[in-house]
Amino acid sequence: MANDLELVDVVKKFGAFTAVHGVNVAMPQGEFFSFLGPSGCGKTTILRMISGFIDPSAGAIRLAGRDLNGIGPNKRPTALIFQNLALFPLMSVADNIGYGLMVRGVAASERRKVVDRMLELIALKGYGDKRIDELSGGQKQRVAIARALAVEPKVLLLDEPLSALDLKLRQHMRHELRALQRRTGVTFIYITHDQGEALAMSDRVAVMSQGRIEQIGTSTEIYNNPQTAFVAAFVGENNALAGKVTAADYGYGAIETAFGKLRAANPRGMKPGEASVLFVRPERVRLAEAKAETGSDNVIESPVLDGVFEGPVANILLENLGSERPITVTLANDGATPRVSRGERRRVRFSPDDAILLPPAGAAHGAGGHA
Amino acid sequence: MSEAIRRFGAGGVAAILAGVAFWAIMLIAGPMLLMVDLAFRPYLPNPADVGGPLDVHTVSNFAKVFLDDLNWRVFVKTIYASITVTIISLLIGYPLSYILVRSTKSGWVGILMIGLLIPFWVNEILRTFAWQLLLARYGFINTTLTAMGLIDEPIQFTNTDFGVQVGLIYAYILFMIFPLYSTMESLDPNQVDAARDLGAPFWRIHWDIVIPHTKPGIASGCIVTFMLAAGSYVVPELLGGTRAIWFTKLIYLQFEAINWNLASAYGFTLVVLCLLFILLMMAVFRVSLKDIAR
Repeated sequence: MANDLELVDVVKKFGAFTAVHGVNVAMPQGEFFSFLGPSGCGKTTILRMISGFIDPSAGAIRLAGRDLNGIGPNKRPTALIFQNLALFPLMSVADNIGYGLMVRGVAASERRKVVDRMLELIALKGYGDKRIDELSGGQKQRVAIARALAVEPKVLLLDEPLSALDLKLRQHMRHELRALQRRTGVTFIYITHDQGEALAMSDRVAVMSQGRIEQIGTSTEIYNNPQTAFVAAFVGENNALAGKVTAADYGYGAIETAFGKLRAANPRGMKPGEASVLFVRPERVRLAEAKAETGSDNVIESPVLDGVFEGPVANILLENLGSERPITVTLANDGATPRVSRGERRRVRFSPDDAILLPPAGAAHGAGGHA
Repeated sequence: MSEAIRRFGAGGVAAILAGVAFWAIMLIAGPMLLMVDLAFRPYLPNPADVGGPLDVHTVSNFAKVFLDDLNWRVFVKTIYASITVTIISLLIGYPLSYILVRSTKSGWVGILMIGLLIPFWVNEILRTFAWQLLLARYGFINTTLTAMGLIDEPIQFTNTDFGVQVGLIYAYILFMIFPLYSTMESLDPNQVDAARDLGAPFWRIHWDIVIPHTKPGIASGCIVTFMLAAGSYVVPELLGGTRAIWFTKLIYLQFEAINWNLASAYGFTLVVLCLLFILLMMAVFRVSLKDIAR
């Protein structure tokens, strides 16, 4: 499509420190794409390179096939929404929204039309004459989006714009952002460390760690089929059981852990003898009754450390042999949640299809790089 | 207030307030009011007449000040020269402050600040003498320019209004830079980046974002620099000599002639006219007192 954005082997070095290691990603026009990662993973550096505030040390950023290198942020068809919004406090709401058009020399009458249309888009009709400090947090948010969209950018970049809002408003703004993106058809590139935000809004998510993209995929792919131990551990809750692969066949593998031999899916094709980590989601682990038939399920028995009731779910924490992090079992509060007492030994079970074998974190960055 | 009473006791608070009141009333307001009173009384050479029937309130001193054509010429020159000094200080100070603010992150700001401050550890008179050496007929600047073959004859810098203005800019530019720096520092750098991202070229970012934000600092820097330049005595005395006369020199000449009454009238006139001028400028540039106090 016409306005696809491509990052090709993009590298950014600050002195001896490499913030971004050869990132490759292509975003078709109209996609809601998120970069998800902990602070310092390089996602903000990528954002500032796309917006033009810094140039890549190597590689290219292309929009509709055109290399953007050397084009300053004021000449790029991208617009950035800052973490603190950076609205101009000395200007009215209308002047803020119309600012990009004013500096482009658009006539006042034309500008007013665009501003009115934008105010309607963000459901703040009639707010044009208000001062910025008269607005609520959510309204400021919407004005910042309108100000960026008024210049009709091909790509809208958002730098954790929801982080300053309280929880309820944040969840509401997720829906609003997503709806706005669908209505305008503009490519949204969203930067966040909040996996809930990334998974809820995005068409695709790139999970980043230490300047590298660990995995790119839809929310379900990222959550259900993590490709690396980092993604498995960073996105959502996951139980990790470390061990050594003892057998591998037909897409499954066996791993010898402190709890004995367990079976799991083996999508990365790990071979016997390799160090590995078995991941299984807490909601996929179930309590096993003492004498019940377990079939081909993996079974673990361990003392209960604690039970935590959280309303819709209850978590049972079991001691994890050889690790500080307990094994968590998440049970839906369906009215029949069993009682557990501290210190009591409980058996839990999970299907090999719900568990996954991955190389330990850090081992993934071999000479081969990434798929 | 209650916090202060708890810490220092009622007596302690009373003592502090009394000290401040004494300082403000007796040492600042008192002498000023005395000067105003003196300005409105005739000069009586015979001390016995002071407080007698001849010592009445009159505007005769002011009549002398206003009716003398020379006074007006010197006053207008002083104001005009002070305006140029203020404008040039602003033109130098604004980019300098912006560079200082933008280099805060790099760690250079400390060194730059010290570089600005060290010359001001030296007494103002000594600094002005240094400029006399630079600007003199056979001083550093003239000999350098002659040696480079740029000029044949030395340029007359000292004893000219130009020389005085150079000295004044140097003497008072920090009073311009500091208010500019402190207001600019409070500007969120993201505002500058946001304007740039929306397509604003360099000059528009300054015109639309940085200057409006810095307006209170510009106003207070300009007022202080203007008042100091218009009220400076040492710099015009040393660099202007007998040819470039400042209004302060006229005030001094009356004190020297022991006519304190006329001297007070000159001084009072300068203060009031400068204040009126500043209020006029504030109205023209739409700056309110609230902006300056911000």
